[in-house]
Amino acid sequence: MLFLPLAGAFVVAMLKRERDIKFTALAASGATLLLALFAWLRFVPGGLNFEEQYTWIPQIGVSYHLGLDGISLPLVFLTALLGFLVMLYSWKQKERVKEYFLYFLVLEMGMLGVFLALDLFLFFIFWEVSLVPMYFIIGIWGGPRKDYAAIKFFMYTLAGSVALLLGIFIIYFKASPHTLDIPLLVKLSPLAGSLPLAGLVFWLLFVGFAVKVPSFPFHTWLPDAHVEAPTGGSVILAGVLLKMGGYGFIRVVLPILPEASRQWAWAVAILAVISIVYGALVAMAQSDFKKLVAYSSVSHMGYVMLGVSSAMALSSPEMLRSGVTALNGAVLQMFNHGIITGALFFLVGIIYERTHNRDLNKFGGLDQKVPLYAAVMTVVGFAALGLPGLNGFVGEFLVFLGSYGIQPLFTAIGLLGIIIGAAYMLWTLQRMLLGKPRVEYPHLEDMDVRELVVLAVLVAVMFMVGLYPAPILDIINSGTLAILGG
Amino acid sequence: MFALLPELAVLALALAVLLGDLLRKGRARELAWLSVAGLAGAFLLTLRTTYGTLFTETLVADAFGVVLKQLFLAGTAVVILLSMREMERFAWKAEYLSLVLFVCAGMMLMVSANELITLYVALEIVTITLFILTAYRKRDALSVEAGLKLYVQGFASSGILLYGLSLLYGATNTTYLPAIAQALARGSPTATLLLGAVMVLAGFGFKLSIVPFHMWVPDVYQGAPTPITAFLSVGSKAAGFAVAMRVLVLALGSLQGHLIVVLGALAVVTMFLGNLLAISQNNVKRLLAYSTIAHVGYMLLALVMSPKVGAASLLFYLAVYTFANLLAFAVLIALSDAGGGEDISAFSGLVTRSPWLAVAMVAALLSLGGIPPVAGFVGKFYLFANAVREGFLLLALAGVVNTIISMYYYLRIVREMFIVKSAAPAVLPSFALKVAVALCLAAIVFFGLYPAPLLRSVEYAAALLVR
Repeated sequence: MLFLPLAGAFVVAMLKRERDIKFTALAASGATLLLALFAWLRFVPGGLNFEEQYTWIPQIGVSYHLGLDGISLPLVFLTALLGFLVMLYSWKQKERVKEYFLYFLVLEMGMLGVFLALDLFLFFIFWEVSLVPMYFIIGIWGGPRKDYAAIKFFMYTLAGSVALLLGIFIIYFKASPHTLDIPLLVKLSPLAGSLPLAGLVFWLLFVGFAVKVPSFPFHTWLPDAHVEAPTGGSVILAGVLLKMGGYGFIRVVLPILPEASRQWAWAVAILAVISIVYGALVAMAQSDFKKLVAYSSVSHMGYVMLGVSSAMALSSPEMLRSGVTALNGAVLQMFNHGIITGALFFLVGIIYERTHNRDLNKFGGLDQKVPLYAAVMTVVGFAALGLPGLNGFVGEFLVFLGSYGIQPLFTAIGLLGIIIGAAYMLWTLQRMLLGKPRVEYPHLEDMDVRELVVLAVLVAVMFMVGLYPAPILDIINSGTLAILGG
Repeated sequence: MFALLPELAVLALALAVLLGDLLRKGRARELAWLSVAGLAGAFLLTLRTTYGTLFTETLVADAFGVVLKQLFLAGTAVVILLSMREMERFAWKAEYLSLVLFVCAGMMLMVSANELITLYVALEIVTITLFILTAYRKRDALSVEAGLKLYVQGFASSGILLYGLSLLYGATNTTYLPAIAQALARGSPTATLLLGAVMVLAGFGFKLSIVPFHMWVPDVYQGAPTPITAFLSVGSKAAGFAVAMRVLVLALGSLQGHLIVVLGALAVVTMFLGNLLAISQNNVKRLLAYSTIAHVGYMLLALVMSPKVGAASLLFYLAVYTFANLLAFAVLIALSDAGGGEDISAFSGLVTRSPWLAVAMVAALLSLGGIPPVAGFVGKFYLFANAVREGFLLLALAGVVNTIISMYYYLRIVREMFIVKSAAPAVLPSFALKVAVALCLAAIVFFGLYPAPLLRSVEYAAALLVR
């Protein structure tokens, strides 16, 4: 599954005709999606599924070790789904077609690799591999300030990843035998009993992952990158790339550094709450639709971090229930955020393609002009603000429910985010959809079939998770229980 | 005797090329291919090396040397492949080839030297031949200036080095490296000895372009014929580091406690200065010159580690650095051969003009910057991880911070190739250049994805070196 997109990329590199290229890219990502679906159906909750391990670089204790558990499966599925939809959405891509699909396929492989890797070396390689194509995607097909945005994205994430790397080194040399295998490291827990050093490693890893999430105060690259990136780039960036950070916390920090996590959980929680409230407030102040979605991502990823911090703070067995709930919520929130924000960025892209305008104040009355678009937009907007019955609600509810049992104060402040979130989302809907139609755009076309299919799939997922979250929660629960040792 | 076969083969090849040029004029092209084939043959000979010492222990054949010799042979072959267009353009005779081969033989002797005088002689073979090669574009003022600069600094530094070596001899009564180590182990170091060690370090500092002895590097790199610049940036650095390893770390090992602070500080200053100055360069040769200085800074970290770990890290880093840097120079040469000049702007829109060259260049730059999946990442990972293992957390931190800075200017070239549009014509590299690019690209991709065999051999070499 991992190498399907790469194989697709190779074929794309060989092909000349644009149609063939698009078709190959779509087929490769489609096959990946089918495999992800297949993995979902065959998945047995509890423990690692589809595990593979081969020796690779024995000198430094590195093996090629892959596997799926309840935490990675939803994210792998999300990656495959959004990857496929982006290819579909980009069918009309005209400029430098070959490269465009090439980078997206390589990117997809990198992201899948991050979620599948069970070896820190492999994890880091995929982590970095996903960096370069994204740089190109923003830099080549981006908006007016693409140069600045692309390099800022790259340098920020690179700075984060070298901090990550230093942390990995220390873990490696403290483990005996020296190894980079994640399950083994969890068993050895090499830094137990040396809190100052564990704290240092914790913060090194924290910087690495928090840049990607992005958590306040490392978020400044995100609005630039999102606004300048082409639609497909924004979708993948917000939908999947940010999840790599949250996933890192759950996969690496939480199980390998439990003591340090407990010690510093309060700091993570504070940053999470700041992200939630600050992100929401800044989003409220935006008139650029794309920027608004970007800042709402900061806020929504804050929920994820809040859930993670609650799981970190876990100190007594009585709280286990709450911790698991919070962490379940965090993982589900990552999945949901990917679906919702992906859909929002698609919607931004669709309207921008038609009007070349993203200023919310210049829209109005879209419900009369493009009713289909307006309907989808409404559903997605409601999902984003957490309306019960749609997926956003389930994740946020679980995060707050679990966190309340562990850190009530932070949870209460975090709840403010929901209120502000509802405010800016409703205001956005109001400004765009209601009111008098603007004269600037007399002939707006509604969504075509291709665009509708892309969004219908996402909306269907929103309803499925919103109305009947049990199947996905069972899977996630099996993973979080294993990590929290329940 | 058999242990010396590769060196002898290269020398014989150099003479054969000279003779061939004498007998049949104007066959430089064929002779160049012959040299490449000969180097490949010598490479095969190194595989059968019997370890031991030669000529009353003045030369030593060990696994450490063999790895480096293989690197020199491969590197020299690539340099010759890169030189072909330049040789045609300026109608250079095959004498040029034989000079390049002499440098190669000299470097191979350098890494085999087990005794100070042999070491110095081998070093001078390399240095003097490189003066000539640097000034080889005889009608180009920059090239001649570069040759002169290299000449002046080369002799000044050789003088310092020689004086340092003589002080070592004075203090220990022997010129044999193992004997020096034994003599040092017996007593506490005297002032003479320390002064000698510092002068040796300064001498190497010039050769290796360690800050503050780096001033000559950008001008020389810019002025020299580009293939020779590539040669300078990889071959002579590798040989210099190997010798520094043998002298400073192994022979003067018991002084390491005294030198460690100096070496560590030099490493940090060298990497920072190299990287920061590289940012504002527009001439790619100058940019790569500063980048080379920065890489020297990284590799200096290997000299502060314990010998066994340091030697392994150094060898691995040198190997991947050599191929990545040669690859970057190869693409630059392809562009300047096509008349594009040597500025960053020569790279504009390369991805549409010549996609494979652009891909190769990206791979080279990512490798230099230490981004996976190419080999430079493993090199940096191994080097910095070992620094952390040896307790030099701050030095490793300086290293990774520099990695970030360096990516900034490497990305400038990437940006030029991929993001800037250009109407310049496609680049059609010569066959020889394609071979060179393919070889280097294959090397960095292979060692990036499957570094285990190379790691095994460098760890083996390092283990034998330190017993």
